[in-house]
Amino acid sequence: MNETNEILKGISELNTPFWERFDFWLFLLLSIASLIASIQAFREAKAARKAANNAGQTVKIQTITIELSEIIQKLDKLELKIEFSQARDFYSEVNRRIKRLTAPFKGDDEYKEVISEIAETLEELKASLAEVRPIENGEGQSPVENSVYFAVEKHFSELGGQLAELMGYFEKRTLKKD
Amino acid sequence: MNLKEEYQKIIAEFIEATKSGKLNWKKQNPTTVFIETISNTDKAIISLQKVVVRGGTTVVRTGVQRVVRRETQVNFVFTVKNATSNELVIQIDTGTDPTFKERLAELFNACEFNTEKKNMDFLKGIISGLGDKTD
Repeated sequence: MNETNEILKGISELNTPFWERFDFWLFLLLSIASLIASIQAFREAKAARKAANNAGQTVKIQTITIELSEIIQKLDKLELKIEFSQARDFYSEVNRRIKRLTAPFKGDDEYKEVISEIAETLEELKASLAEVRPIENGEGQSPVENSVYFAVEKHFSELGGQLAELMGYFEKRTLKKD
Repeated sequence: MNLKEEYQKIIAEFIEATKSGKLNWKKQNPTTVFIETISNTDKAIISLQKVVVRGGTTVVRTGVQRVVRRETQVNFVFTVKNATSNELVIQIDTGTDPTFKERLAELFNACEFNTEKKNMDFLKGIISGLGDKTD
């Protein structure tokens, strides 16, 4: 009889639903906790990657800003007695560097307006330079020493202002990220 | 007569002398003409330059919109330099003093006409010389 009771008790224990068992809830809680921890770790990794990307972009923009400020300093030091060949070489260098630095931001809404103004000034500068191309008269040095300066000075000055404006926009971008 | 009026008068005399062909202007580049002359014992260089400033920008804000107006300005720079002592005798820039703009524009046009006429006469001389040779 006792044996029969024990068997029946065992059978009744086997018939107990699993959610009523303590170990089920324990393992369920542990699983949920580990899932939450995994999601949190994924989010943190994603945020770290974004922060690293932003830091990389900030460093790149700071490098561009430094290069732009170097160009502006050169523009400010335009010599009064600059010869045509020197002005042409200077224009070529400035044109090449500015085009390289601004190309990645040409389509960016924040910068496209000022970049297009810079491009126009560079074209106007080129046209003004063509107007002081020396006429070969076999007389060596140009008697009128300031003619190239007068032709390009205002354009270089305007270009300096536009580059400074672009630098300001870049600095605003890095400030926003900070 | 003040100094400005005196300069205006001198420029008018340059215009007359240029139109009558007494001054032999040379072109340094398409927008700069000059003459080299002797004043007393010193060598003088008189030059006139037409400076075209394209696209001087004016930023106008209409509401939230930023409108950039690009304008073209024409200025003239008239310079007299003592080439012996390397001293600047006079420099008039119509960008800073527009009262001289009309007279200097007239002088520049006269110089252009003068140099073009000289070139044309030279060209005609070549053509007539060719005619003589073929005869």
